[in-house]
Amino acid sequence: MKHHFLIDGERRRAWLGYAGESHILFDDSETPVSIEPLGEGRAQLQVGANVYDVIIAVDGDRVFVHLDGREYEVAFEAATAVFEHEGEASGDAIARAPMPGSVVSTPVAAGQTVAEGDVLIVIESMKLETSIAAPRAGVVETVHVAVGQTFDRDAALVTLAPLPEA
Amino acid sequence: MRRIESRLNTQSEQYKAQYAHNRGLADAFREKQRAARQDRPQRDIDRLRRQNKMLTRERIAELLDPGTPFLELSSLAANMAYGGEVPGAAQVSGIGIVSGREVIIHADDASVKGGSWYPLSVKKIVRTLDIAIENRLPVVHLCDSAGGFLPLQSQLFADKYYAGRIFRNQSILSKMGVQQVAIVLGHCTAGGAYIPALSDYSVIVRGTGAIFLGGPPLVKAATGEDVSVEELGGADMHTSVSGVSDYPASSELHAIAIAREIVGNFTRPEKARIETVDPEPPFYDPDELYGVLPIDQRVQFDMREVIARLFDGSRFHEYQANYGKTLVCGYARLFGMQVGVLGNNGVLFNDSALKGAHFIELCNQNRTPLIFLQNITGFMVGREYERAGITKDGAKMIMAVACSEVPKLTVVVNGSFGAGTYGMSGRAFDSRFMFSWPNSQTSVMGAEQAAGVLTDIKIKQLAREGKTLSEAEIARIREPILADYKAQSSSYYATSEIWDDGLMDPVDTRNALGIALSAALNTPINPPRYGVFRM
Repeated sequence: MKHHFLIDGERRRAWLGYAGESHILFDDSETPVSIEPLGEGRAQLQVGANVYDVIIAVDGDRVFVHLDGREYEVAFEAATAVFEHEGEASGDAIARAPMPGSVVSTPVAAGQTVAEGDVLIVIESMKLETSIAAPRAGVVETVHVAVGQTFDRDAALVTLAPLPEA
Repeated sequence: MRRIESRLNTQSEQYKAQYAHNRGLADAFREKQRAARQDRPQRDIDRLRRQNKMLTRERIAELLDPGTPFLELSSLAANMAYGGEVPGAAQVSGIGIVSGREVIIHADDASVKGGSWYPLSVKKIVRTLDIAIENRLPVVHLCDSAGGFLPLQSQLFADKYYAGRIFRNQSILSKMGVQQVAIVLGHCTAGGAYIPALSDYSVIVRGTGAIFLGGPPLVKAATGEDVSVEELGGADMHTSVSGVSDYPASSELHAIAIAREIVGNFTRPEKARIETVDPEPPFYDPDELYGVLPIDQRVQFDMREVIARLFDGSRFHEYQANYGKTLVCGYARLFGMQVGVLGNNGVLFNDSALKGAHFIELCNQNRTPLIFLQNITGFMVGREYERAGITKDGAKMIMAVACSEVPKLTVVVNGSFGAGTYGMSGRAFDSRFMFSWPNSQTSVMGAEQAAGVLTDIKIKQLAREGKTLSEAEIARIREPILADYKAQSSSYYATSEIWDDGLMDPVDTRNALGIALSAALNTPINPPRYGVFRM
């Protein structure tokens, strides 16, 4: 799996491989690359047969690269974050009781569309009120309990169905 | 170290004929391998696509670091079993690089019979985990199996090296501190449920991944309970309620990305220290190996010509060149790593066996891994040799091979027959890896001799019943015996039964041995210790 980068907001996949003492850039093709630092953020970058003078500035997670008269902003994105929300619509999700208690309010009803983080149900347990939020976007399939009803730990409270396909 | 002077005449008619023949065998092997990897019924591919599943090899490609080598093992397992309908034994296994770490991958292939475990699938998984144990390789399991193939359950369930061994091996790996990650990409039912459970880390894909001891139909039948897959063993239940799995993933790619991060946290092992120098490619082109191997398997050739095309700079320091000449022994380098090479140049005599045992002891004292190049018809027979104690000397060599502490790698270059198979570190002798060339043959004796013996027995049997046979009748008995025997001696049969870790195109062998030896050095090398050598 290649690394993911945002270059001026556009997602690109690339990987730097080793070939003995030199490096190979894997993106859509395979290109030999090398970089020679010249100090103070300046460097000479060789990509295939082309040689560029570049200036690189790092500001936290953001990297600014000045190349060929233009400035690019480059950010690294962890693959786990890039793919986290992919295919989320598949499968059911069940909000379960983290502890035994009773229902305070049920702000959603079956058929309602909810976004990630929307409150599905409010419960009271051990004198504490707790809001249970939607783990992801979906359509409420069933609200298993009514206001005032008591339940055990791990009881199903609200079942979410996947969002209908657009 | 001196370069071998090749005597191969690449302009000769013999070379050209041998090259064409063996190149043809390699091409045929590659085509068989391609088919076993790629050819699947369209409906199976369509089914996986409908389920939002990637094909096994697409998953592996995403799991590995781009541009790094993947050494696939036993790619033609089961090619001569089950009517050829279970390519690769419905499993992919191999060594690759994930987040900069050497790992071994075990992947169910759901495009073959839903990833069912056939007896040879189980054998392949157990072997994969044996390799992990012997070479301390972390394991990534890609789980997507319909479970054991029930009609053949008696051949895969209860015996020592059957399915239970998978879970035993996983537990032993954990005890050794060799880490495992399981990615649950399909249903892990019954025994299969223990693969993620026994892994140190497990990732499960929401929607398609599930783990349960009994699936919904079985639960319905057993207790009458109606329960959905998600509720019974889905990603959310297992990662938030039961704790059977650790990381929920929203897609296969997400799961693979999580697994790559997990492997990226593994501490890289310290390799066992052996003598190394800067690597160099062989001076003689490995492509010429096709012209070294004979067309008729019984024709002798000089193993030095093979050595010259496998090792660094074609350099070889030969040990005892004038003694026990039918066994070539000496030092060479593989990608800079010093190795001791033993290769056959004929039948093993007393002196060749003694030389072999001695050389193995030297390599153990010197912490030099061993590479066996097999082309062996066996130990010499006859009154003179029995009186000289050929069995005793063969026993010494077998003792040295069996007790060797340095890693051993074996390549079946041509023939592998009789006790010679044992002396040259055959499968039973725990070579860390064993590869065979497509032209090779393995059996207790050569096909012609064996067919002769079997035919003689049949003739004597019939003679006792008072029947005498004509030449034509004898031929009619002999031909099917010979054909059967030949089929079961072929490299394709050996690899089908997983007697080796895969067939190998001769030109790929150097790379394969390099990856194998690098993996083997994950395990510390103990000081040598042997049993009693019969003197």
